[in-house]
Amino acid sequence: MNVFLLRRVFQAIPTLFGISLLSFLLMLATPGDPITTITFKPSSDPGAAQQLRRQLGLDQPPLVQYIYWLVGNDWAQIDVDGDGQWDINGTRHGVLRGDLGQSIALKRPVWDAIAERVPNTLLLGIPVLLVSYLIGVLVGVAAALNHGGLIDQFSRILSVVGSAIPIFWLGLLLILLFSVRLDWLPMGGMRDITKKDVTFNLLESLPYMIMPVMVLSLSNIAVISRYARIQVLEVLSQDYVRTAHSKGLSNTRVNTWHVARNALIPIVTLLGGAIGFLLGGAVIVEQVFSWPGLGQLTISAVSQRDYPLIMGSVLISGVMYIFGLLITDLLYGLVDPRIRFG
Amino acid sequence: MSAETSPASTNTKVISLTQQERRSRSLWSEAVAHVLHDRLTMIALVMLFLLTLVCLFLPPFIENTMGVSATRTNVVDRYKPPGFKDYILGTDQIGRDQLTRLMYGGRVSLGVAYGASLLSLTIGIVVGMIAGYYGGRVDDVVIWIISTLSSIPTIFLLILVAVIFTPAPETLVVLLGLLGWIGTSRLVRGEVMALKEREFMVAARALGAPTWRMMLHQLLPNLISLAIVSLTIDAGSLILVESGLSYLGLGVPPPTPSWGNMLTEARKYLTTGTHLIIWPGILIFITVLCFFVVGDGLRDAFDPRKTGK
Repeated sequence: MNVFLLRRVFQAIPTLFGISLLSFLLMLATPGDPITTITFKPSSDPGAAQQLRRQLGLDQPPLVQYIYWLVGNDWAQIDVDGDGQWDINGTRHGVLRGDLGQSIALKRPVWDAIAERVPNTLLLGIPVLLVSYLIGVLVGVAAALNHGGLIDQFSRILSVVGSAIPIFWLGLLLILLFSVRLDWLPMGGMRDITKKDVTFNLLESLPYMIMPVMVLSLSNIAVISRYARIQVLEVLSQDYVRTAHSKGLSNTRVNTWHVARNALIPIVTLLGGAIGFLLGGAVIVEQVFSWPGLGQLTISAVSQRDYPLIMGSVLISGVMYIFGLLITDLLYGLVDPRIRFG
Repeated sequence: MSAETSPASTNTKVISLTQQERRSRSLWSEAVAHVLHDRLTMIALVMLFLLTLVCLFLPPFIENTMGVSATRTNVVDRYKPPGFKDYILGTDQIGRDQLTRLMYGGRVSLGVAYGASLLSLTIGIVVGMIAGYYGGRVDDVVIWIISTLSSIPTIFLLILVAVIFTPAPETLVVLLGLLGWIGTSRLVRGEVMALKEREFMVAARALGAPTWRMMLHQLLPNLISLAIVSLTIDAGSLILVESGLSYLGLGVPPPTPSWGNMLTEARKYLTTGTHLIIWPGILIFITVLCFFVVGDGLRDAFDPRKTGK
């Protein structure tokens, strides 16, 4: 297991390197640098701006800048006043040590702003994963056992609709029905659970969670139920299932002990994709239901052209996704011993 | 379907060049026949065709005969429900006719989807063919780029790029095309790797065919069915992506209508203009649905293992 784990972790390194390179290049492509936004005022001192630029290493060639951005420049000697003498050490810590720069709009470290929003996004994401796996597997298994029947048709329609409907429109329709017409659920405005004076209260939060979770789950259910159906159908045609039937086991027992157990193992592999979908879908759904998560933070950063914050959230979402895929593979190795030795 | 085109007639031991040619044509005629018999796919295909034609040609006609306008504002006729006076689908928050606005929006949404899916298909085929054909180091680099790009959720990448380059419809086509080729190139790469080892490729190599000739004359024709299917599916998902991006205010900026940004504006008028939310969404939904259905139908039609009727 340890060898498998290590090998899999090492495989993630080139991709992480790629993400870092991509975000750095895009950062170079953004108009202006952090200094420009600080020194935009006519009263600013160009000499001081130049000093600050040197101190942050922004006068260096791109390769050096990339290294500074990645591991920081507090170990390097910097010539701040440009007289050819080393004066001080740099002040940046680098992305690898959690220094994503300073948010322009919020005037605080990007890392803090993002880390604070993650629990809110997880509060949406974890229920979505639970609900979509539960319903998706149930629908898929039921459809396979009812191959060609009414439930099968229903699951097919569900999966087609689930993958073709724009999620924000579905959100708007639900708001229209449950909030505007029926007045059963709040339109949005979930409280930020990371705020100091707010304690998380499930009963109080539940009404806010129902619609976003429904909307985000639908597309996942579409994918998971289709996959579960195919897996179950495949297992149903196996010899050992026929053997189990022929030795007189009841249908329920065969379906739960022999079919479901074997068919559901590969469904773990969908977890990675589901996490990626959640991170992306959350951006839109959080906007529809004004949910105070990472996605909303990103969009507000976009409207204020807060490049360090945008860049930071792209980077973090990529890293989160890669770790999601990593965990998926490890889980799969855990539930299916064949993978570990493959 | 004639007996000549059925696979059973090709069990001759020696396949001459002319016979091979006929066989490759028969895959097409078989596919066309299959689609013509597939009622659901035909309905979806016709609807897409009609939708495109209507969006392209009908708006000026409706504006002239009904005396409405997609751009002229009218303070008196705001939030009018469908069927009010000459406004077939009602009016929006500043009294513009919704039906013609939807059609102009369809031009943008469909145009972006068609353009971007063609661009991403082209890139996907070129990249996938190069990676699959050359293998080795080239393949390693391409796979590295693909796995990097696909490990950032697309919407984040798009947000980032859309912020840097403010999108007009044309830029949006380029952006979506440049970021959407990953899936196609993965498919093409796998297919090319399998095709590379087949006899006709070995024969072509033995005859001394140059690389470009093997790619254009041997590989490309074998990729067309795969390309058409992924083009259709991509166009559908691109409409979803474009509308999502527009909804976030990062797509085509108003007043140019697109189905996505019409919904953004409608979000503010939940109670006063319900019809403003319903219609653009229905159009997106139906269009995407049609693309997916057509894609599925074509995949079945091109599948040589399909059960003949």
